[in-house]
Amino acid sequence: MPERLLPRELRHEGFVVKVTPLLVEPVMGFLIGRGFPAAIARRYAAGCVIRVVMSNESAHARIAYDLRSWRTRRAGGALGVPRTREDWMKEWQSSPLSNASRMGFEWSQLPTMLELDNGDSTQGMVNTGLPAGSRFDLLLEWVIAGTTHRNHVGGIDCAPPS
Amino acid sequence: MRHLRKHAPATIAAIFLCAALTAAAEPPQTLTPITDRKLAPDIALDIVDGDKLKLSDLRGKVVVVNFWATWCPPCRREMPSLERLKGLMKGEPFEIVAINAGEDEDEISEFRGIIKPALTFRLALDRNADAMKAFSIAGLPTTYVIDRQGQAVYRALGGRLFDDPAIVGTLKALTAK
Repeated sequence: MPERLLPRELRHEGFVVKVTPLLVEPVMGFLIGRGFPAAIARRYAAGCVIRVVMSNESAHARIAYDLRSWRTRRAGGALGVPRTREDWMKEWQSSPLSNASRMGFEWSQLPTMLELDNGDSTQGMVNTGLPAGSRFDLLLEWVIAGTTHRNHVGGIDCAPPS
Repeated sequence: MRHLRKHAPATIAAIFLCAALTAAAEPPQTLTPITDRKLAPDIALDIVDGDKLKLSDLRGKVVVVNFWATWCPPCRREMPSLERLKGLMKGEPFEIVAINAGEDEDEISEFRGIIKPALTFRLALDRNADAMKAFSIAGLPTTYVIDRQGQAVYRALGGRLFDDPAIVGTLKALTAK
C-alpha cells in the first residue's frame, strides 16, 4: 500500500497546481502529533484530505486565489465545497484544543486566500468533505491581472477507507 | 524515551508529508519588493536556549525574518540554505531570525539535531502566534527582509534557496545602503 495516491497537476501560463490525495493514517498521525484528540483527528482525516501545492513560476503578474470559490465535482456532476481552515476552527471553537494544536492545524492548511508573486508558492492540506474512495475533479478559479481563469484538476482519487 | 514517543507520530507524519512533495519543481529564486514600505513590527521574541530579542535590537543590520515549522515541508527544505546564506554574508551587517509557529523547544531542538548544516542562526518561539499576527502571515514558510533602517523591503511566500546568487546579491546590496 503506497502512503499516498497519484498526484495530479495543472499548468496554465506559469501557474502550477499540484494535488496529492493523502492517506487517512498519516493525516491522523500529524494531528495527533500536534496534540489533537483521536476522535477529532479521525473526523478531519476521514474527509478525503488532499495536499495542494501552488506556485507562480512565470506568470506575467500576481496570481490571486480564493479557496471558497473552488468546487469538487463527482461523477454525475454533484458539486461540493471544500472546507476552509476557518470553517474548522469555528467548529472547534469550544473544543479542548491547546494553542499549539490550533496553530499546528491552522498553518498546515492551505491558506484560504493569497496572492502569489512570481517565484512565490504556497501549500497545505484541504479537507474536501468527500467520502473515502471518491473520485472527483477539483474545479479551480484564480485571477491574474483582473482576469478570472477557470480550469480543473481531473480524476483525483480519494484515499480508501482506513 | 518519553520525549521520543511524544514526537514520533509528528515526525513520521512530517516525513510522509515531505515525501508527498518531492516532485515539486523549484520556483525562480526571487524576492518580491514591497512597494508600501513601513517599519517592520517591533516584536519581542523568546529565543531557543533562553535569550530574549526585540527586532529593533537588530536595527542597523539587514535582517531576514523567516516564519517556519518543523512539520512544514518547504520550511524544512529551505533551512539549510538559510544557514549557507549566513556563511555567505559573513562580515556583513546581517542577521537571520527564524520564528517557529507554535512548537515547543523540544520539537525544535529535535529538528536542529538532525538538520545539516547545523543551524547557528537564532531560532525564536512564537507560542501564541503574536509574531505571525504582527507580520500578517497567511502561510508557511513566509520570509521578510528588513533593511538597516528597520523597514520591511522584500517578501517571499513559499520556499526559497536563500543561497542562490540572485538573493545573495540582493541582500549584499542592501547591507551596503
